[in-house]
Amino acid sequence: MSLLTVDNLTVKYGVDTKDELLACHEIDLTIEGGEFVTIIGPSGCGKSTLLHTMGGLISPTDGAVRFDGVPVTKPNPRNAAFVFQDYSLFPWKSVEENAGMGLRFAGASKAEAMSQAKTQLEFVGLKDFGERYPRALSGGMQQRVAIARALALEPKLLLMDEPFGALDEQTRRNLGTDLSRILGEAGQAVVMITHSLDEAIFWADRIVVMSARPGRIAEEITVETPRPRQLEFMTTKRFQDLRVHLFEQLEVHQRDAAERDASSSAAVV
Amino acid sequence: MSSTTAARTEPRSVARAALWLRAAFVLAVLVLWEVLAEVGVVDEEFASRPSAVFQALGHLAVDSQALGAAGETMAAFLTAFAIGTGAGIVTGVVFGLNRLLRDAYFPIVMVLMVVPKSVFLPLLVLFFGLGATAGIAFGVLLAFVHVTVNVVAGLDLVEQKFYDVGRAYGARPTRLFLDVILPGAAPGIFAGIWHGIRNGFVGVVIAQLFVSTNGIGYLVRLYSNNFQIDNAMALTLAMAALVILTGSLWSRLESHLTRWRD
Repeated sequence: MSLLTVDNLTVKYGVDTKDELLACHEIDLTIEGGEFVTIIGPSGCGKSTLLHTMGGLISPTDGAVRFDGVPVTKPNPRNAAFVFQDYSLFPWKSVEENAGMGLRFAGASKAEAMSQAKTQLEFVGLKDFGERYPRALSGGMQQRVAIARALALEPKLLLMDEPFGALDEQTRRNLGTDLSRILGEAGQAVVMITHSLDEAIFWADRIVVMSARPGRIAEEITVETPRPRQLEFMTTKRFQDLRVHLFEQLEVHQRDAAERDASSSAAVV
Repeated sequence: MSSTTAARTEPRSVARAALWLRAAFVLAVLVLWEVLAEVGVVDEEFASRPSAVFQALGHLAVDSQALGAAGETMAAFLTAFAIGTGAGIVTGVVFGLNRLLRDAYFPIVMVLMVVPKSVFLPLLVLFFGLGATAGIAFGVLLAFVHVTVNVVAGLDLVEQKFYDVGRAYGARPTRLFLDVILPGAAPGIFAGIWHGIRNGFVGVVIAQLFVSTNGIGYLVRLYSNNFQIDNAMALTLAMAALVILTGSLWSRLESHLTRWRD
C-alpha cells in the first residue's frame, strides 16, 4: 500500500462567498514509502495548499487524503511532519528546546524531547549549538534546526514547504548536498515544494509539475538516477534535458495563467 | 555625523557623558534655586529652598507620622498594583485569544483609556468613602486600563507562523499557551506590568492628594496647606526616588527575562 494517497482532491477557499477560490482541482497523487517527491509550478498554483492538505492543516472540500489508508482529518506529526519556509523557530527557546519542541507539542515528556533533540541536532551537524538562541544562527543553520525538529518525531513523511526559499544560492547548494545525505540516511519519504528547477530535479525520485490556478497536476516525471546524488549530477545530459523540459513546461503554464488573468479582467471591463 | 559614529562605536562612553550632563543640569537648577531664594527673588515661604528640603528629608526620615503615611501609601499601592495588574493581564489575554469578547468589550477599555480618569475620583469617593479604599480603587482602575491595553498589544505581536507550527505538531491549548503565546507576548506583558506599577502608584497618590485622608499624598496636601513647603517637597522627592528605583529594578529583571531578544 502506498504511504500517502491523494484521491480526487479539490480544495476551495471561501466556499459560497463572492471570493470563492478554487486552489486545487481534482488532484490524484500517491507517495510511496522512502520516496522523494518535489512539487514545482507557477506562483499561486496551489502547491502549498496541496502540501498543507496532505498534512491535515487544511480540510479537503472534496476528495480525500489517506495516510496508510486512513483518512487524514488533522495534523499527525508522527506520520507527516512539517518544515516551513521561514524556519518558524521560536526565538525565545534555545536551539535544543526548539529541536525538541515538535515532540513536546506532540505530547512527549520533556526528558524524551530533549534527548531526541540532542540526537537530531548532532545528526544535522549542530550539536555544539544547542545552548544558543536562534538569532545567533545563520538562515541555513536555522533551517537545519527546523529539520531536526521534524526528524525528532521520526515521521514516515516530511512535508517541506520551500525550505530553502529564504536562503541565498550558495547556502542552498551547500545545505542541499548536505541534506540529501542526511535525508537519505534518515530514510523518510519527503514531499518538497520548490521554485528552483535545479532543486526540483536534483532531489527528486519524482517531480510533480502543477499547472497554474486552479492547481492540477500537469505532469509527473521520474528521475531514475539513484540518490544520494553528487553535485556532478547537475552537469549530466539527463539533468540538462530535464531542466529544459521543466523550464518549457513552467513557461507554458505561466503564460496560460497570464492569458487567463488578462481575459478575465477584460471580461470584467 | 560624529555623534552617530560615537553612538555606534562607544555607547558606554556616550551613556556616561549623558549621565554627567544630566547630573550637572540638576545640580545647576538646585544651585540657582538656592541662590534665588538667598537673594530673595524666590519667596522662600512658597517655594522653599534646596537646603531646607534636604534638611526636611532628614527630619521626615525619622518622623513617625511621615513613616506611617509612607507605609499606608506602600500598602495601598501594592494592593492596587496586584489587583489592577492581575485583572489587566487576565483580561488582556482573554481579549487577545477570543475575537468575540475582544470586539464586544475592548472598546470599553479603550474609552476608559482616553477619558481623563480623574473624573471617576468623586464617584469612587461616594462609593468607598475618604479612606484608603478609594485610593486603592483609583489605582486599580488606572493600572487595569493600561495593563490590559499593553497585554492585548503583546498578544497581537505573536506571529501567525508560530501558531501554525503549534497546530502542525498537534499542540494542545495549554502547551501552546505556555510555550508559544505567553513567551511570544512577553514584551507586551512586561510593558503592561511596568504600566501597572507606574499607574497603580500614580492612582493611589493622586487619590490621596485630592480626596483621601491618609498616606503620603494626604500628608503632602497637609504640609502645603500649612506652608510647610520644605516638608511637602521632601516627600515629593522621596516618592520620585522610590518610583525611579522601582523602575530601574524592574527593567533589570525584564531584560534578564527576555535575554533571548538581544
